[in-house]
Amino acid sequence: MDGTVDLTVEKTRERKFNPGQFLAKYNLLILLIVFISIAATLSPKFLTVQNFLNLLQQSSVTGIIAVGMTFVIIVAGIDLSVGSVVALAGMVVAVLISSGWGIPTAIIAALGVGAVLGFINGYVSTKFNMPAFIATLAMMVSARGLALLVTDGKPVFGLPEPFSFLGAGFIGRFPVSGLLWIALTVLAALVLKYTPYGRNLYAVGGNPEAAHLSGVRVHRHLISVYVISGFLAALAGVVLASWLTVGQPTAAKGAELDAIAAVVLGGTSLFGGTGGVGGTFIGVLLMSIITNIFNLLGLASYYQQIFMGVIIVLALILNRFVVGKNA
Amino acid sequence: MKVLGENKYILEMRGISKSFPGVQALQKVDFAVAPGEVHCLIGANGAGKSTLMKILAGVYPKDEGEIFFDGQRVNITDPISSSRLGIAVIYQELSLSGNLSAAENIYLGKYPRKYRYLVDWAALYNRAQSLIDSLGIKIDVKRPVAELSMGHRQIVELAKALASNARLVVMDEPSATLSGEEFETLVRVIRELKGKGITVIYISHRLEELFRVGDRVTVLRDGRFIATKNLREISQDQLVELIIGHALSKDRQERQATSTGPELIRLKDICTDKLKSVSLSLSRGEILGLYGLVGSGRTELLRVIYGVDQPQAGEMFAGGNRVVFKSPQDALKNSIAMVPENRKTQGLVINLPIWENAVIPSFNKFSRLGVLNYRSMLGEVKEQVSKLNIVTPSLGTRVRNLSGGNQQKVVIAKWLIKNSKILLFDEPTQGIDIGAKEEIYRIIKELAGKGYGVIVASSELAELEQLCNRIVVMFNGAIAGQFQQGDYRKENILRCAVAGR
Repeated sequence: MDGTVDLTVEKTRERKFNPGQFLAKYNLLILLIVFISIAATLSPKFLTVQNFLNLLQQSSVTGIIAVGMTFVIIVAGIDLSVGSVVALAGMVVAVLISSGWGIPTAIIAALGVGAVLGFINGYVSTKFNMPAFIATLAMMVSARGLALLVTDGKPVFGLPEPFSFLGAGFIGRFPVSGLLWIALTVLAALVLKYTPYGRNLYAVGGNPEAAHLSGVRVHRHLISVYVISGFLAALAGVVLASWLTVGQPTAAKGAELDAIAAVVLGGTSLFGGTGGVGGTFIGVLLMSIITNIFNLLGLASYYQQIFMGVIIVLALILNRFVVGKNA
Repeated sequence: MKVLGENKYILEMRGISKSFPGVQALQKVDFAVAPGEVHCLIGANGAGKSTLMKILAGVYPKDEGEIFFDGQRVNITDPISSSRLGIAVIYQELSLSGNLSAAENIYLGKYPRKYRYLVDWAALYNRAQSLIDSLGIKIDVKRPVAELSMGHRQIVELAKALASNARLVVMDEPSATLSGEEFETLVRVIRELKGKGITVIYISHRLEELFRVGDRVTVLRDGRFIATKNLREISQDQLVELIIGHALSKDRQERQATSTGPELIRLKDICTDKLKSVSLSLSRGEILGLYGLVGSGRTELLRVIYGVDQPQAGEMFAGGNRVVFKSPQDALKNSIAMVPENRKTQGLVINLPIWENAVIPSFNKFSRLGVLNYRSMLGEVKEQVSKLNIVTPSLGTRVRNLSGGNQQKVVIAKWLIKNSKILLFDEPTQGIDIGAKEEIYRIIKELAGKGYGVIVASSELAELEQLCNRIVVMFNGAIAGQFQQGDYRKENILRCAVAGR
């Protein structure tokens, strides 16, 4: 789950059951089980396959963004522009389709826009030695402006039926968008674990100087994660537009924060060098389940937001506390 | 309380001892400083100067001994108790906040106030300016420190010490980062300080300097007190003899390098900011030592060979071909690898496990069609771990949990797996205990026996004498001498390093 191979790490220590370590390692899973139990007692409908499939679909947009965000955070970066890129990509695909482009070509164009904006993020932040926070904040503002500019701020309606397959379609009982999210997570996990590129990201995130002195091309790797993040944000934007069958320039405001929260909740450190997409997947799921519980309770979303903030901080404190005690 | 009339010294350190794991850094050192003098402290690398001053500053606790300040026995437990006594230590890496003005830095933590809660800016600037003016230097105290020259920053640091009513100022290698002109200014300021009755302890490697600024000098060698002399009554050669512990022999033997194997790399007239026309060659199977005092250019030279820094002039050849290294990748392509000075910040990603650190440069070697073959990768790591005798519970152990010696071996394993043929070691045994040191030496010798070319830069002469076929001594960015195995006269090598001749 943390992206590194479990090579019987400190076997001797693990043979003796250490509750602290157990908590630290599996705190996320424990939280997930706790909340699933709560939800299950609140409503018998929660523990149904149908509800989980709904959950998968609802989480897929944030989930896809969070996969890219995980790459960025592993190298100790941050990408604040993803929410705006989601909106822009949605607008691009919607406008192109309504002006007569084929659906596949329109999608490819939208993904290309995301990748290019991501490249700009990476290039500006590495080559000009600018904090990623600033570079991507600037992109967040500009990309949102672009999204609004495309149609002067008006949403694009009337997208053709076939386009909605990606966001609202099903294969058997499975939502296409949820499957896409799962597939991307698996692919990303494999890349992070089984390719030189993936392993280099951990080295770059853990200690860029040591990585540089080991012959890793640090700048290229840094730029690449922003391209991935921009590309996946654009993909999430296409999925969202397809799901709602509308291009909405004000869509996905604050999505970057949800994605960052999920990644961090999933155990990837903002300081870089650790973590992985498995944890992120659970993090996204956890956040959706909490939302689900609040809906079941019929509480206003304001409570939901307060609680979400508290949970994020508590999970991290717990982690810090338990890990620190064992270090 | 003691009678003040007896108070011949402002500071007296008696019988100070300090040991670190595996090293006796100070052994019953006596050190006495008279009020109002500029007292120099000198010794080769590892003589114990810095340790002694860190004890005075409260950074390290002493193992034994007594400290008297102003005739009173004092107990220095931490930097705060030291500065309360009126002791200010100015380290080489200055502790100034670059974005704040000089005035703010000088009065940091004790800004003059008005209405109790507000900073009295007028008073702050006035006081800081008059303090600086009293040193006879023109610095606008409203300017941010980052805009000042290194020399002026040092003056600001001195003014900061004055503002905290320091009576004893310790300056650690103040001239290392100064130009000649800036040094002259510093000399003037030190005289001003003396005029104000402030005592200065001045640490430097540069002998000529001591004779210009100092009144007396104390020499340390191998953690022991050697002598305190009046600088007006001693010659530079006598001082060098005290530092190296031998009479200077007149016959300086210096043979040309007679290398055995074919040449691996050759440098010709390499120049950078720090290096002055360095020429050097390394042969197959050779262990070449680079000796020199701190700041003599050893590390800078290794960084150029490894492509981290680029030379401004000069040529480099690898295997007979002219090469230009723009980055470490280029050096690695020519089988050159570096084991850097600082394992934890430069050599390793300490939060990653052993296996991963050992293969970071070699991922491509272990991947087919872009997919890593963990089995062969871990197999090779395992082989190196047992060959190099790395002691660890498992390959998955994070390197941060390893001892220094084992960490260093992981760095070496990394380059062996990469199939590097030329290894550059910068201070390979720094902070490593004696047992592990011997192992590192054994590994280096074995590698040379297999035809690797090795360069070892070190500030420990004994280490180089034990390891190397040839020792090159650097002084002030240039090569000051070369010594062949069998001709390692300690006094000659030391003189070369200390005096450059």
